Formats: sequence, structure tokens, C-alpha cells
Amino acid sequence: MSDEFSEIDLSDNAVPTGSFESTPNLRTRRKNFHLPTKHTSISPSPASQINPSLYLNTSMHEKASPPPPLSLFDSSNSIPSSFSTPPNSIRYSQSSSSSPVSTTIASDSSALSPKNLTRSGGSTDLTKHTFSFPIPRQDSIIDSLLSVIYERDGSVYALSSSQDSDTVTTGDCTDRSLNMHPLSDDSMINDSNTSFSKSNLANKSTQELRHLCTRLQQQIGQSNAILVKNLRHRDKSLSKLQKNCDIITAILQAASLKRREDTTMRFSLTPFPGEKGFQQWKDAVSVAIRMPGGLPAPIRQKLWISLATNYIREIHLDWDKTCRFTFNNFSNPDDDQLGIQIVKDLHRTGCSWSSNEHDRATLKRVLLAFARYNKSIGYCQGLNILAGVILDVVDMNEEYALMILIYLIDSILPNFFSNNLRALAVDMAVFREWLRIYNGKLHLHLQKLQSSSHDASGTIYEPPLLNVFTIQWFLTLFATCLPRRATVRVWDALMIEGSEILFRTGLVLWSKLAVSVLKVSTADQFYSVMANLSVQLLDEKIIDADNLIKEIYNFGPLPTPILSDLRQKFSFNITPFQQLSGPTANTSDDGKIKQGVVRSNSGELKLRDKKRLKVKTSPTNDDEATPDEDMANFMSCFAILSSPSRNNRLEHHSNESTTNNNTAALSRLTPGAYSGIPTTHKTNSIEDSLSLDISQLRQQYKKLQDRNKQVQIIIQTASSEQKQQRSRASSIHSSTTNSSENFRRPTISSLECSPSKF
Amino acid sequence: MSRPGHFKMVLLGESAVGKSSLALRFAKGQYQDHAESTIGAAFLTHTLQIDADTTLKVELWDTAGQERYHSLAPMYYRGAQAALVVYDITNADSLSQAKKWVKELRTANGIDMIIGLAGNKADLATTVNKRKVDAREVAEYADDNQLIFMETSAKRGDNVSEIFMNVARQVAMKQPTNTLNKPQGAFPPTKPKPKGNSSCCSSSDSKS
Repeated sequence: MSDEFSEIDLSDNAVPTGSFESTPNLRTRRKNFHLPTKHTSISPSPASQINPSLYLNTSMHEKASPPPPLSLFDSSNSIPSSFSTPPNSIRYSQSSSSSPVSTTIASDSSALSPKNLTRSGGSTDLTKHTFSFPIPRQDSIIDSLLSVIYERDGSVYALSSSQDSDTVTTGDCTDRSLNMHPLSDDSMINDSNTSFSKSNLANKSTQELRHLCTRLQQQIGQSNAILVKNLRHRDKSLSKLQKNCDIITAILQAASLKRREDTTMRFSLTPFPGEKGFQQWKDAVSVAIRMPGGLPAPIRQKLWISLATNYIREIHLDWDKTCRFTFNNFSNPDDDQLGIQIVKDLHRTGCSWSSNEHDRATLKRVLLAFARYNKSIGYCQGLNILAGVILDVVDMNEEYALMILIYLIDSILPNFFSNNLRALAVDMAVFREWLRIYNGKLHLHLQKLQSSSHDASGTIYEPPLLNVFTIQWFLTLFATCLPRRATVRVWDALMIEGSEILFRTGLVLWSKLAVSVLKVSTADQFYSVMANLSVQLLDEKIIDADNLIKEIYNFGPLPTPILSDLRQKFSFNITPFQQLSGPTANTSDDGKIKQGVVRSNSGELKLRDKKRLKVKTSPTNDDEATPDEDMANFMSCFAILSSPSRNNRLEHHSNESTTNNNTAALSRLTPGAYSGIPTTHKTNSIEDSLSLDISQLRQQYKKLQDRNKQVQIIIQTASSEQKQQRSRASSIHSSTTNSSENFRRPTISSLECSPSKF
Repeated sequence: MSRPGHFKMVLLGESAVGKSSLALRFAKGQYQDHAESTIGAAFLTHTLQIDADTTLKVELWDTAGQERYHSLAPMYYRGAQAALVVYDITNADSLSQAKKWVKELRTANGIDMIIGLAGNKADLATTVNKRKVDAREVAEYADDNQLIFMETSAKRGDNVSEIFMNVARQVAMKQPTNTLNKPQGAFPPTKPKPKGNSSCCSSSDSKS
């Protein structure tokens, strides 16, 4: 039997034994995976042979085969063209449908089997021509082959097997089958190829025309028959798919936690229309991602794209317009700076990414497009890694990659990448606190390690050990610390469940590392042990993907209330110095310190304030920092070093020569000096020092408002005084309002910004 | 000033000037053409043989260069005795960024901090004529600011161990001599292995 027949068997029934992942063609195949939305870049290339793999993957994992998606419209397209070039048109409908079989049909018929050339003159050109026609992406090999087979009965097999040619492909088969039809006189075909013009037809005799007419009608009838068969087949496959989806739904329900919402879940390859349908689909997929082995790659691609598409729809983004704008090469003159940074990182995105120039260009376009879309983030190192993973999953489709990147960063992650990484600082604090609750032993040990590494004067100079690694984990969403297989599975969960997955994953990983970490006794050892552990993590030696996912979900139902509580608490308390002022400081001092810091954040720090700050902090000594304070310091680093305050620093430097005192004052401001805090504070647990709740602040705010009112009364009375005293009154006015505003500002800002943030 | 026999050093500079490459060359004697960009920070250690009977272990923090990560830097340079600020001799902007770092370090950690200034990618100046930063001007700037200045090439290994060595020597001079210990039990350095022109480096104890 010929080669193509066994291929049919293989793709239709046989389950390949795990080899499909390594197929070199897989990437090109996946490219054409049927996607829920329209897609602009239909490749007319022979790469449309995707469907076999689609079949393989889906049938393997779902025991279902998707519909043979040869659509009515695509096929009917060929009918009009059949009027112009009849042999061509037939070859189109057939060879396009047979094209999935092999990319080398053209070369087969042109180079490998010269018989074809002689049999049907000019077939090389024709074949090429058919390939340049936009071939429907969904046509399937089995589908078309079956119809061809049924159409021709057994005669084709007899023919092809009798030919005993080892280059026989379906292309040959098609050619041959073409020739079987009563198109006997080749010369006429060749003539008529070019001569359906009016003048040409006019020259023909009535008989010739009749002959031509019947021939065309025959061909049309034949095409129609094929079409009907394909449609019937499509229907059958669709219902089969539906049935298989139902089976999967049942399996998933059996595997689910059997909550109330689990009973309504419905699995499908793409979400059902409507909000309810989407939810049902999402419920089903969220169970599916926990199954051992996770989602097969094509389903993952669909999942990510479906979620992203849904988000784009939710925010009412005009996607076509967005794409036009973001992928435009000329639109933004201020792209240059962005482009430079992106280009710097293109070669540094990871081993798998430094190989292919074309892929790098794609990565660059996606990153640039994202930077244009989200100007407040622009480009941040780390995005290259995220985009790299996404591009791999969507097979280099840049529009989908952009869509998913937008969904991931705008919707899933709290503002990690925006300007001063504030949300990351909050989440680090939250993570630390959660680890304390989840694995207190490890938390304590890490604290000990950090504080053990102090010098003679007692200054701790290790950065918070937990953060050093967790920051990277969070910024790259574990892409750099887990093997790709595990990474994408964590991302599956992340995209469905939200950013809590980051915390859960981090906690699971740290707990797995704890066994080794608890044995070390110094920070040095910790780093070297962590270096080894990182390698092991990447090799899945510490935890494999299945167990990781299992443990992530073992935390219980999502979302865990503790996360939002902690986030609120820490985002609320992240304003530096509030927790550092300590109980000994009286309220006015407190206010002044806060004032200095908050104003530094808003870029208005005056040298005067710095001096005052110095006065307030100088009586403390440097050698009593605790890890808790370190965390606070870490957080304050973020706030104080935001870009406006850096401007302050620069501004300050210009004055450096004139005011020597200020150098010292400024050094107090930088995070290195934050250990200069009241010693009484260090005994406080972090919760105590940080738990300033809203009501307290409201009280404070109210107090300040009262004071403000008093001030205004004073002003009014003052201004109503005699005219010669007016100048004095106005000076009071200015000074008092200034100070009251200064008092008010921090309170307001912390009240407003923090709770609304999450 | 520091724990005996140890000192903490931080690498700062604009992105893609070669901080990680310098660190890798210094700690492991390796070079990668397209190293991954550093996210957050990376940590390496290396033990230097200062003289016949003194070793000094460098705990090297390699930071992320992008402006966005600036806010993380204080976490790493806090309490560091030394820093190596890196710029790219083919990129004038990277020098001004380096100068900003020097200022920030001086304000945060004071004049006691030993700061090295490395003009990296020196190999490009000779092979391809891409130099954008004049070494003499930088040398003047370095003199004015008490910086240890060298042009380096992580790719070829030029001056890499030298600049780290010079920084380490100065750190050692500032440390009271009695605290400069012989190597401790936990981290026994191997015998110095002379390799190339950097015979002063022992290649033990390198951890990523």
C-alpha cells in the first residue's frame, strides 16, 4: 500500500508515542492551530499542514478529534475560479485539501516524479499557483483524503499501488485522479487554460462550446460532491468532538472538588459565548490544568489566547486599532530610547532565544508594541523573558503575544513593573509575612542568618535573604527558576486564578528548599546552598511540575482571604518612617518626619526639611537594626528612591559645595542610613509597628482638619485687625497654611492611595 | 569595619555595560557572549590572595542595570565596603550614569567606601574603533573622586582581576591588620593558581 495510506492510519487512529513534541515541524504546525478569533496572517504556505498535529495532540489528550474544519466557504471559493481555469480549480480544491499531507507536493510533482510533468503539462506551474491561493487554514488531511478516496472508489488505490513509485504522494494521487476523468485531450486543456476570454470563446464552434460546457458542468458537479462529502464529514466530526468534550467534562467533574459551581462546568476547546459560557469553560479548564501532565500545548495556547481575548473585550479595547498603532514602525519618535534598551536585552533573553534572528525581531516588535501600549510601564527588564515564554507558547504570533502580555501584566499582576516597583515591594513584604505564617521556622532561620552577618559595629549588611531570590522569581514569574514545563503550568494557573498563584508557588518552593536552607548557619553558606538549589530547581530535582501544581492547589480554595488583607496592610503602611518613628517620638516629631519623607516622594523636599530630618534621626545609633527593620528599610528604599527623589538628590548635589551640613543630612535620607532609628523600636514586632489602621489615620486627619480650622480662624481674626498690621498678618497666614498643609498631605495621600490600590 | 577576611562589594552601572560579565570573569574566569540580563541581583563570591599570607573573600553583588531597578540597588550597596561602578567605553551615556552612581554611593556610604571605576569593553577600542569615551578624561575624574580607575575587557580578561585586586588591597589597608585572617575553616581557599597575567587570583570558592 502506498505511503499516504499508512499516514492516514497514523493520523486518524494511531496515537503517536510521545514523539510529537519533538517533531521539527511542530512549530509551523501549531502556527495554524485553529484559534477562536480571526487571524490576520493566514499563511498560504505549505505550512498549513498543521492539522495532523492538531489531531494527534487532541486525540491523545482528550480522546477526541476536533472537527475537520474544511469550511463551506473556503471550498466554495474555488468554484468561481473554476470557471476561469478549470483544471486548475479542480487541482486547487484537491491539492489544497491534500496539501496537509506533505510540504513537498510541489517539488514532488515537479522534480521528483517527472511522470507528472509529462502526464499533465504545466502541472508545476499549476501546483505552484494553487499554493499561492489562500488555503483555508483548517482543512485537514484526513478529511480531504477520505473524500478523495471515496470519490474515486478503489480504482485509485489500484493505480497508485500498481505504479510502485516510492515518491508517490497524495499529490501524485491527485494528479492521477485528475487525469482519470474524461479530460482526455491535454492540448485542449492547455489551450483553454488561457483562453476563456470572450474572443477566444467566440472563435469556437458550437460543438466545441457544448463540449466545453458539459466538461465544466461535470467538474462542477464533481466539486459539489466533494464539498457535500466534506460537509457531512465535518458535521460528523463536530458531533464527535462535542461528545468527546462532554466526556472530558464528565472526567473533569469527577476530578473536581465537586463544589456547586463545578457541576455546571463545561469543557470545550474555546469558551462558549456569553459570560456564563465563559465561566463554565473557565471552571472546566481550571480543573484541567490541575490534572497530571497539565494541558497539552495547543490547548494551552487556546487557553491563554481565550483569556486574553476575553480581557481585551472586557476593557473594550479596539484591538485592530491597538495593533495598528502598536506594531507600527513609524508611529512614535520617542521609541528610540525604549528601542535601545529592548535591543540590548534581545540577545540576553535566554539560551533558547539567542539562536534565531527572526525570532528576536519578533520579540523586539512585541516588546516595543507593549511599551507603546502601556506607556507607564514601557519596557522593563524581565518583560523580555515573559514575552519570550509567551511567544513560544503562541508560536511566535506577535499579536497574540501582545494580547497575552497585556492581559498578564495589566490584569493579573499587581503593578509590578510600573515605575518604582512599589507593588513589588508591597508583595515582598506580604510574601515575607505569609511565609512567617506558613513556615515560621524557615522565616526565623532566614532572619537569624541575615542578622548573624553583622560587622563589629553591629551593622547588618546583608540584604533581606528572602527577597534576594523571591524578587527575581516574582519579576520573571518563575521563568528563570523553574524548567519551562513547570513554568508554563504555573502560568496556566496564574492566568486563571490570578496573582495569588505567585505567592503560593513561592511558598511551596521555599518550603521545598527549607530542608537544605535550615541546615546552613551563615548567610554565605545560604547563598552557596541556594546556588546549588537553583540548579536543582531548574532540573526538576526538587519538585516536579505535577507535584508543584498539586501543592499550589493544596492551599485551599482561591482566593485566600489573607492575601488581600496583607496586601492592604502593607500597601497601606509602605510609607516610610511611619513604622520607623516608634512610640517614643512625640506626635509633632512624627509629623515632621513624615512630612519630610512624603515630600521627598513628591519631589518637593527642601534642604530645610532635610536638616530637620537630620535633627530627628541623629540621636539614634546605627547598630541596632533588626531584620524587621530591614524589611521596613527595604520598603522605604523603594519609596525614597523613586525618580522624583533622585532628582532631589541631584538638585542637592548642585548645592553640595555650599552647604556641607546637608551632605550629612542627605546621607540620613538614603536607605543605607535607615538603621538610624530609635532603639526602642526594634523590640516591636512587625505587625505592631505596621498596624496603623484606617480609623487611626482618619482620627489624625480629623485632628489636622480641626487644627486647620483653628488656623484659619486665627488668620481671619488677624486680617480683621488694623490695616498697619496687615503685613504681619499675611506673613502668619502664609506660614500657618503652609504648615497645616504639610501636616495634612501625608495623611491624605496614604488614605487615598492605599486601599484603592488593591 | 567588616567581618574579618570578608568584604562586601557591589557592581553598579547602566544596563548592558558588562557588570555580570566582569563578575563572571572575575569569579570564574569565564565569558559568555550573550549572558542573560540580570533581573534583581546575583551573588558571587571569590577569594583573593592579597599577599603571601593574607586572603580576602569578596562577596560580590551583581545588580540589574536598568533604571527601573534603581530602587533595588540600595538593598545591595547598603553596608558594602567597596563598589565597582562600570561603564561602557563605547557608550558615553553609560559614563554619566556611572558618575551618578558614584555620587549616590558617596552620599550613602561616605568617603570611606572604596569605589572602582571600570571602563569595560576595552577590546572594542582596539579591534573595532568604537571608542566614545576618552580614558584620560575619565582618569582625571577618577582622581578627583578617589576612584580606582581602569579600562577593562571582560571578554579578553584584561585588567579584570587587576581592578578587583586593587580595590581589595585598598579595602584590606582600611581593615585593621589583626582582622585580616588566614582563611577560615568553612571556606578553605585552594592554592593560588597562576593563570595568564592574573597570578594573584585563586580560583576557589566561586559560587554563583
